[in-house]
Amino acid sequence: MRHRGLTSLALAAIVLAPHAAFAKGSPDKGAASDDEDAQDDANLASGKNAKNKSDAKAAGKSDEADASEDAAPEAPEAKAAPEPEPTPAPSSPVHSRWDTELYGFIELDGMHDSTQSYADGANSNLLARRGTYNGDRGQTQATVKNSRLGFRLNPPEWNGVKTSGVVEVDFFGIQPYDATQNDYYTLGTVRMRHAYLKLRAGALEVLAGQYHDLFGWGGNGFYPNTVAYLGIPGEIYHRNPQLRVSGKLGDESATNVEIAVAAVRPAQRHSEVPDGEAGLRVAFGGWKGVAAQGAGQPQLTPLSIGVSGIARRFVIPQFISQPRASETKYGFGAAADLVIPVIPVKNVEDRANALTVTAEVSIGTGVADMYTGMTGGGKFPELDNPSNDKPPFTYPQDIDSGLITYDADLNLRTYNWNAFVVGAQYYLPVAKGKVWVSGLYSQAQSNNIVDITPSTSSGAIVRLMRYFDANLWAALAPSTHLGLSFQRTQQTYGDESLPVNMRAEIALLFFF
Amino acid sequence: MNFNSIRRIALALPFLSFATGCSAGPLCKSLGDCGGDIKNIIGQWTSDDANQPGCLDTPYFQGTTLTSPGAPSDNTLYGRPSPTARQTPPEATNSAWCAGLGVTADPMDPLQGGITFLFEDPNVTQFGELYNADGTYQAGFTYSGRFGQWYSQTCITQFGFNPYNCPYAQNMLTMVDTSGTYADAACSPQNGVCDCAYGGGAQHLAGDALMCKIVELVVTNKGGVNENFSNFVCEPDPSGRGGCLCGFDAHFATGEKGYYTYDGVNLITHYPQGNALRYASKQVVCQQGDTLQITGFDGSYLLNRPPVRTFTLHKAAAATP
Repeated sequence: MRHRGLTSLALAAIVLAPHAAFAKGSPDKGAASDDEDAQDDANLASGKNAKNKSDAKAAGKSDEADASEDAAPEAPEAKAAPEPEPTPAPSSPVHSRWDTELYGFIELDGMHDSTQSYADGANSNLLARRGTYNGDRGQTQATVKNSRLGFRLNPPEWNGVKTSGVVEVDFFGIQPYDATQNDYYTLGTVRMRHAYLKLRAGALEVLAGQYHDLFGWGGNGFYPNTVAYLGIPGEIYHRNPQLRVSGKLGDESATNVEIAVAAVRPAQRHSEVPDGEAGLRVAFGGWKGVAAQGAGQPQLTPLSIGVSGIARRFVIPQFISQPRASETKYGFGAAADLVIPVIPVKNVEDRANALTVTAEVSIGTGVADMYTGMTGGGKFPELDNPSNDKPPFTYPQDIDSGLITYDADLNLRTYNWNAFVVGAQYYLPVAKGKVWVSGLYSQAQSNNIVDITPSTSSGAIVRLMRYFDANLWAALAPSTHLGLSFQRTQQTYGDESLPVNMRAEIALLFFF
Repeated sequence: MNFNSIRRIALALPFLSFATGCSAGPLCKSLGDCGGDIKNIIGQWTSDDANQPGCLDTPYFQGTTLTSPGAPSDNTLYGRPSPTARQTPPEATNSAWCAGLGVTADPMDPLQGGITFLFEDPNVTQFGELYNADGTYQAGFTYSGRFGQWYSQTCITQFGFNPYNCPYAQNMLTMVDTSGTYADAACSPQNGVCDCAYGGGAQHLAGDALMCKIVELVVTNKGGVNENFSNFVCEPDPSGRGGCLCGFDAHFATGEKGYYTYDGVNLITHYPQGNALRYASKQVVCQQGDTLQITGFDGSYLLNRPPVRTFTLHKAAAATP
């Protein structure tokens, strides 16, 4: 048996092992493949096809490097060590063991809001209602916390196995409760975005670590172009630790198909079973246009369509203060994503008149966490306390709010949401498309959040979110982009209150 | 236009964008602020509810209860034990499904812990201010309206009440009825539900209708209603989700008195006195003849009482000496 065949078997074993360990019948689970780093957030930052670049570098590595990997992990130190013995050794420069790429961007954002509803990241958070202090007054913020730093490490190919690793952070980490406003904006806490490794042998690829969820095919070119932070309301945008296996058929320059399954961190750890995600993506390499994801740099993107699904299990304690029994419920979701280069171009450097449309449609129940920051205000009800005991008993909630709750007859109910996002980006015939405009419209709606929320809390839940934005971009230099944006968010509360937030935002980004 | 020009414009636009801040503003727009002579402001002013009901900003208004009428509050974490250091505080919750109504199995004491009436955004049906020449004032609101509250079947039976047991239901029905209407009630199982005949057997209550009638009688006759909350009526929920849909009238007044100052232009500051701790409040006025327009200063609530924001008052006829 050839070594590549052995490697494929080993990869398959890696995937199967955890499945065998999950003793209690799990929902569909699996792994997925993410194909090209060129499509992921790293390239969102760099705008380059880093995968190809890294592969090229990897190919140039010597066989000795392969040997050193086999021999001892400490080999790189030997590489850096030799220094003249008699004199005190000066501090040695740090060397990477593998071919390493540093990427990311520095971003300054300034935004003015018509309400005081949220901090720098709007996402799907709830708006302050009109008639309240926060709902009637505006705010201005400036932040660099969306700046991003990543490392991609590319060891040379070894016996037909390509490996790589990525670590990527930004500065939106959780801050302590006692952080002041000054601390909040100026002491950006490091937050891990991605930390994953990939092994590829032939058409089979394994991704292990934290990466975009396969549900929604995150990082594969489907994100809309906007100055606003992703995910915008109604957009699937989530990262998770996962083990993904994917297979890809066809050449990238032609029509190619990717199918993937992933076992993902369960939304509720007490469910005992990982979430399962699966997806199918078809890309038409012969039909490419220009698309920028989020606030990233434009890059050549093929016509693509992706479908994906998620299934998960909940095991929820009975609704009393000291439960012994539990009830099991399942959550599901399905999504379809599309990117269409309506007016294709062949060269990203000359993208005048390029027009690209992105779209996503999704539906699900018990999967609201896949939409960034979205709960709609859904929470568990308070435990009844007819005797007015003080302090009242509390329910030992063991799952994040917004996924599942108890209704008035104490039946477990998952929150239903359906959403869509449509975006377009057009590169003006100015300076070869270095100035462009983009816009998007999105909507997220729940058809049961009102029914499963006590009526006296209907003023605290949102059943419908509508969002649109319009953006103007200019590449002031190859490294530097300026974006201007107007964003409008409207939410319909359970009691039909209709607060609106309007945001004007500027962004200056330096890519490296 | 070359690219350099575009670049210059682009660099200038960020600064413009900061100047475009806009706000939806409060729901209740401020009224006139023409002020008026204090001599003309002194007197009794009342709202003309039919023509000028005033404007209420309606922020998130948590359920109003018997014990704290009119006070918006987020009580979902009230009274909970403080978390130990570095332990995550309990998750915030929504309201309780069965809040405020616990029907027990005991016909003698069927209302466990009383009843809490929960409702949102009551209308201010009367509002008046009295400014005296000696610098004192009185102000009063009356909130009223009819509200509905749905109780699920699970909630109604959560604390021992069992309308499916016929002997028990018959006993409960006759014990909580004070009118004598159901004194001759005789209940027996019919078609899987408990059917109670009364009025000489000519009338029947069965199933959910029986359950809801007992709930209505329990609340009405066992200490659930008072001068603030009345006319409590329950019926099977017509939407088919089970349980009872109950309606009630809420009518309660609140007010304050104290001292006031007038800045001579258009701003009155109230300094409330009394046992209840209240804070000073400011209102902008515009007096023209027998009309007094008032609005909370800088978007604040009138007398700091949410959600009352603006009113047009009319001068009451002077009392006959």
